[in-house]
Amino acid sequence: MTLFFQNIVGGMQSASMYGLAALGLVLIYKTTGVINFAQGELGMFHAFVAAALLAAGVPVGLAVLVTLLIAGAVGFLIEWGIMRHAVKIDPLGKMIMTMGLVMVAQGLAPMLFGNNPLYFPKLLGGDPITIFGISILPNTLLIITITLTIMGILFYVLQKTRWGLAIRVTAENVNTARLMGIPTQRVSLVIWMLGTVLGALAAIMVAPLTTVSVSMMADIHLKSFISAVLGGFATFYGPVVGAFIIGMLNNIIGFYISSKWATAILYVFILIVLVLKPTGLFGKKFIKKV
Amino acid sequence: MQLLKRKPLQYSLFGIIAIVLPMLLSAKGSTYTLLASIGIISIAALGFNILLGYSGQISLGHGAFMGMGAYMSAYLVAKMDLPFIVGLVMAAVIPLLVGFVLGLIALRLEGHYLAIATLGFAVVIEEIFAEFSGFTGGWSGTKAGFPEILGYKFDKESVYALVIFVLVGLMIATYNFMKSSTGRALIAMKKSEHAAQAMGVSLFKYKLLAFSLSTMYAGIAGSLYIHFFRFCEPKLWGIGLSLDLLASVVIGGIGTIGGAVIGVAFLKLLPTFLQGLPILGDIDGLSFVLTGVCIIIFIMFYPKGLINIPNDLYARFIKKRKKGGKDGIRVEN
Repeated sequence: MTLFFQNIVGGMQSASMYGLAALGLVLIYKTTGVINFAQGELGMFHAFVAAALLAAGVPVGLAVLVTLLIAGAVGFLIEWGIMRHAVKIDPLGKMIMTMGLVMVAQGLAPMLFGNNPLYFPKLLGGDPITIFGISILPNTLLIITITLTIMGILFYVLQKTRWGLAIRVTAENVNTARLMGIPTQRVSLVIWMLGTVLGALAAIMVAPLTTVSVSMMADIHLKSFISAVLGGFATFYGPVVGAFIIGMLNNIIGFYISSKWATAILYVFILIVLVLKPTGLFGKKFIKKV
Repeated sequence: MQLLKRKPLQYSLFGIIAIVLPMLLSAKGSTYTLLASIGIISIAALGFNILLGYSGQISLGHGAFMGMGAYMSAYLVAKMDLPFIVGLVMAAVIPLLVGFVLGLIALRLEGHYLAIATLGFAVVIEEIFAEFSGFTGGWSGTKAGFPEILGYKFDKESVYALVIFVLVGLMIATYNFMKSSTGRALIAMKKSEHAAQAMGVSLFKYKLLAFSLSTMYAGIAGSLYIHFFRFCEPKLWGIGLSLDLLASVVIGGIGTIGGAVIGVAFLKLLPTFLQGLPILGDIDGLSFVLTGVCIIIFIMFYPKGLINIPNDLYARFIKKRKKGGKDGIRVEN
């Protein structure tokens, strides 16, 4: 049983990263209708920024903070510079535009920071702590705590504040929201900044587990996307729940069934879920008006 | 001139130019490689366009179908010593059947849910490619030779000609297919699913047809790929290839036959062209960045695809002048 919970905790660590990235994805998708394929690669770029700041002698905490500010600025630039002018373009076209952003990020990172992978330390060092026979690294605990805190704050803001209401209304229907006097343009600006920051945060958390390289976010981005689909794009919490299901299942399948086929089994499972629930676990049936 | 307005003739002409021009310029081997890869990916993109452009479904698994065709063909021709034609036909048939079965299951889904379902399928297939090394050669990859038809052994230049020949053949076939009643049903579905349904078009049947057809095109492309490049490995058929197909169809022009080819050519030629630029090309990664910027700009200004640029230019400059004349008269009145 201890081993089982050990796997659950390990899964929660990756689930936190998937969850943060997936939340960024779904926030942007619901309010602006853009599926942001660049989420992962922008995160990768920001991880490079953080690692470069660190290499330049900036303390870790400050480097992370500055990186998140830069991520916000990048999100601002993307919305203000590109997406704002692409309102009339159909969703598919916007998706391809974000793929253009992927190429920009993938090209800029080696251009500015060199071709060699960089190193980024754990935010919290130290030996594993044992709780009820499960040993947890302090860093893992920190990642899970940060994620849960951020999500708690975000969901509080979404549900209880005026700004949250504005975001939810914009997500429901942009035109109606605008008629109700909600500054939808400012909402989408804020959401792009927030989404990019969440992606950057996920990348900074991944960085110590691998190295900071161009391909570091490929897996996380894919998994966050799948989490969003599994949970359904209809709600803000669905993708987060999806992320936790995927993170934990991945570990459990890998441990108990086969580590070689874990990903394949996971995808077959998701395929089955989607066939049974075509709009995800928390999806609503989409009704088209004729 | 009237004759030139007929699309099949245009396609044939394009094919002849594509084959003859590199010969006349006595192009280098690397140019042939680039052109052939454009031709091969175009075949897959052509099929992808039937799916995306006419039936409005997104798949992120078509790279895997291409891989399926490639491995099928390589296995039959290189390992079992069957003729190339058999390999090519089987590379078309097997993905068609697999696509049919996947479509039966997955086409209940729509939009990004379908995209992810097909992506999941592609990931599973990629793992299978890597693990079933008896059939695919696993991580170390698989090899095949240049094709041989009726005793004629192809070399690099003639395989390229073969690729273009198949591409043009499929372009004409697609054109005729779209003019048939089935094609019209697909176009009706694209315009409005509900209207099409009201006119008696069975959505599921035609979506399934479009899906299986597009996987067949991908299989053919895969077979030609392995017999041109003579080597492939499992990583090649992943999400990157599928995204490339999606991007080139959207960039070139959704739901057009020429658009698929133009989109692929744009995506493949632009980085090469940018790398060749004097000073800019030397900066590492800049060609990548500029390609990304170009994609964004072109989609922003030509959301309907690059294929519409000539029409747009015509409408903007030539028609406007005529219109301007009329306006002038109105002012006089």
